[in-house]
Parts: sequence; structure tokens; C-alpha cells
Amino acid sequence: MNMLPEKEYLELLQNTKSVIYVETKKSSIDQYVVNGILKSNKIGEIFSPFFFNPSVSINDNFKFHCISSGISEDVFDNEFLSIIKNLPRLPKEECDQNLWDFVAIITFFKAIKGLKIFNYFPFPDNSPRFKSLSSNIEIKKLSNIVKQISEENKYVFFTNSLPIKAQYFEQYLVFKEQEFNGCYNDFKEFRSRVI
Amino acid sequence: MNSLTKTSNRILSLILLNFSLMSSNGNMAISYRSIYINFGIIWNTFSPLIIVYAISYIFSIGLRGTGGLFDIEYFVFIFLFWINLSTLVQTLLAREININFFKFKAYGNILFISIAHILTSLLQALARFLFTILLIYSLGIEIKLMTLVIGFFFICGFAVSFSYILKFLFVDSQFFINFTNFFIQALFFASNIIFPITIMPEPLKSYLLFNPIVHINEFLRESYLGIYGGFVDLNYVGFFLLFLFVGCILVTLMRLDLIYKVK
Repeated sequence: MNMLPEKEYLELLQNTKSVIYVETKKSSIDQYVVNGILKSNKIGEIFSPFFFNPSVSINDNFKFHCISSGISEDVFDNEFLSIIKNLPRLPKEECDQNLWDFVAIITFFKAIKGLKIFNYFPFPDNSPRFKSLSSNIEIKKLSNIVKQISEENKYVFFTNSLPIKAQYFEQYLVFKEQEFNGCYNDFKEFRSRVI
Repeated sequence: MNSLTKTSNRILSLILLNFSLMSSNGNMAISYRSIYINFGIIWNTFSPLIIVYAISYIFSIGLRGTGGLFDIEYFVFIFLFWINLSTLVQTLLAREININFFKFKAYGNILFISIAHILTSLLQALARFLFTILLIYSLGIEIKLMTLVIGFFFICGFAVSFSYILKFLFVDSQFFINFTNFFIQALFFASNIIFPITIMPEPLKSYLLFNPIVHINEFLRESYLGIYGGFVDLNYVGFFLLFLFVGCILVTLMRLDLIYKVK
């Protein structure tokens, strides 16, 4: 495992665009870690499973983030816009989960592009979940858009498997595409590096 | 983008979210072939009017001959203002701040969420008020518009500051939220919504006059009936609102940790 000294690690975080994903079994711990990352790096937003509010529809979530980020819907592809605008206004539990996640990711990436932000993309091309999507035309179209985004941006990293699974956490990652910065499987160790 | 624009954008987006939640939680959708219509926002906004109109109609018909005490042209507004107040307080208190969606948002703090929720509720209250005015007009009943507008603004001012203070004091504490809901229900009977202050027993009357809502309701009633009991003091209401406004500032300072919790 490539472990960097704390100072170098923080410098790297501040000077590079990296991918961070924090998801634990306890949301309170998530928040603790996220707070630590935000405080140490002065980052305003981080992608989480709750980037989209599960109680409202994809369309409403999309509009919510466009307004709150102060961006025009024009920055999104026409094809993407036409897909989500025609979706029924259903909350997450009644919506296709893959479609939900895809739109959340694309919205997150586009809405905050240009800011110094940590991004997370959890869908690898070769995962069984991804392959099972072939019957859904909307998801196929959206997956192509995700691919396109990933090709345009060299810092995007796709993964669903880790070298080491964390003891207390589902996943703990600090990634760049070309350079693997670190992966921590111990909460105390990770916290000492981040805070 | 300057910080003012950012703040207004975030509050605007939270208002949109509130209306979206009304659509998704109300289950008021009709789906027919390719047509999908959701009445969630309309239902959430105007459904309280059903009980307001029903009660006002029952009182105006059932208690005729009481010297115009329950004339529908103003009694419906007294009751509507009360519903607006209790709805604003109860829904703001019920709005959870500590949910995962907000935890991961830099602006998911109690100040922005409360302001957005208050503005949403005020928009709904205004819609209900305007709709009722149009309805009364359409029935050919004469109303005193300026009196009603003054009453509406005073009640809204009270509702906003009162609910803001309670939200900042109790945050998401379910115990205090339940207690406040009970208190609001009790306040309905401890004010002069149904009966005028003039017929209240003397010891109770002096206590009730501490309640600013009593003064606002009495102001509406006296303006319509033309009978002045000498109890109305809108200056008291004004000073009470000023006092609540100072209270809002103090509770905001008290909860700075929740406002700057993420960044």
C-alpha cells in the first residue's frame, strides 16, 4: 500500500483533483469523516449517496442542484436533458436505482465542474450490475454520457473493488486515475491522515 | 458568483425542494396513459381551506342571530389566519434538519432550511388568503380589504418569528415538537378565535390580553362589527413582534454551531 506522510498527503489533496468516496455502515461516522475532509481542505461539497434527496424525483433533484449551484441547464447535453425531463416524478424507492444513480452522478459532476471538488463514480463498465442494464434504453444512453465524461476528464476513476476492504467502512478511497494516493483500512489511521 | 447570489440560489433551491416534497409525499397523482398529473402542491396548499370553510359556514348558519359575531365575511379570515399560523409553526418544527441529505450539504444548515421553509409556508398562506378573498368577492359579499391585509401581515409576522424561535430552540427534538403541537392546540381555545374577548370572564380576560393574537383578532372583529370594546392595542402587537425579532437574533447567535456546522 502506498502510504504518504500526512503533509505530502494534504498537499496532494489540495493541488490535485481526486476522487474520494466515503460510505460507512453508520452515517454519523460518514459525517465525521466528511467534516474532517472539508475542514482540512476547505472543500464545499462532496459526493455522497445522499447527493440526491431520495424523497423527491430525479427531475426535481436535478433542478434543485442547478439552482443551488447557480448553473444553467444549458451546460447539460440535450439528450441528457430530454431523458430526465420525460421521466415520471417518482421518489427513489419507486424509481430505477441505476437510473437514479447515473443521473445523480452526472448532475454532481456537471453542476460542480470547475470547482475544487472530490468526485466519486461507483459504476465500473464491467460490473454485473452495469451489464444488466442493457434492457433499459434510458440507462444505456446515460451510460454513454458517463463514459464520455470520464474520457474527457483524466481524474475520474471508476471502481467497485478494492485491494483491501476496510474494517469499519464499506470503502475508503483517495484516488487519481494515474496515481494511487492512498487507501486506508483503519478508521484511526485514516482520521489521523485527514484531520 | 458573489455570496449573496449563492445564498439566494440556495434558499430558492430549498423552496423548490419543499414544493417537490409536497408532490412526492401527498400521493395526489393521476396517471392516465401518457398523461401524468400531480396535484400534491395544490392539495397541500389548499386542503386546510376545506376545514376553514366548513367551520365558518357551520358557525355562520348555526349561530345566526348573535349580532353578526359569526358573519362569514370576517370569521372565515380569523379562522384562516389561525390555520396559517398553526400550519407554519407545526410544519417548520416537523422539518428535520439532521437527515443525511442535508448532512452532506455545505448549506444544509438550520438557518437556510428554516428560511426556505418559512418562505414556502408564507407563499402557501398568501395563496390561501388570496383565494379566500376572491371566493368572498365572487359570492358578492363586501369585505374590508385593508383591515384584512393588516391582520394577515401581523399574524404572518407573529407566526414567522414564533416558529423561528421554537425551531432554533428545539431543533429536531421530538418531545418538544409534540409539546409545542399540544400548546398550539391549547392556544386555539385560549384565544378569541371563536368568541370575542368582551364576553370572557374578567380574570381570564386580563391574562388573554397578553396574547398578541387576541389583539389582532379583536381588531378584525371590531372593524367589521363597528363595536369597540377598547381592548385592541396594535402598538402592543408591534412591540411584541419587535421583542420576538430580538429573540430571533438571539437564538440565531445561540445556534451558530449548527449554521457553520459543515464549512
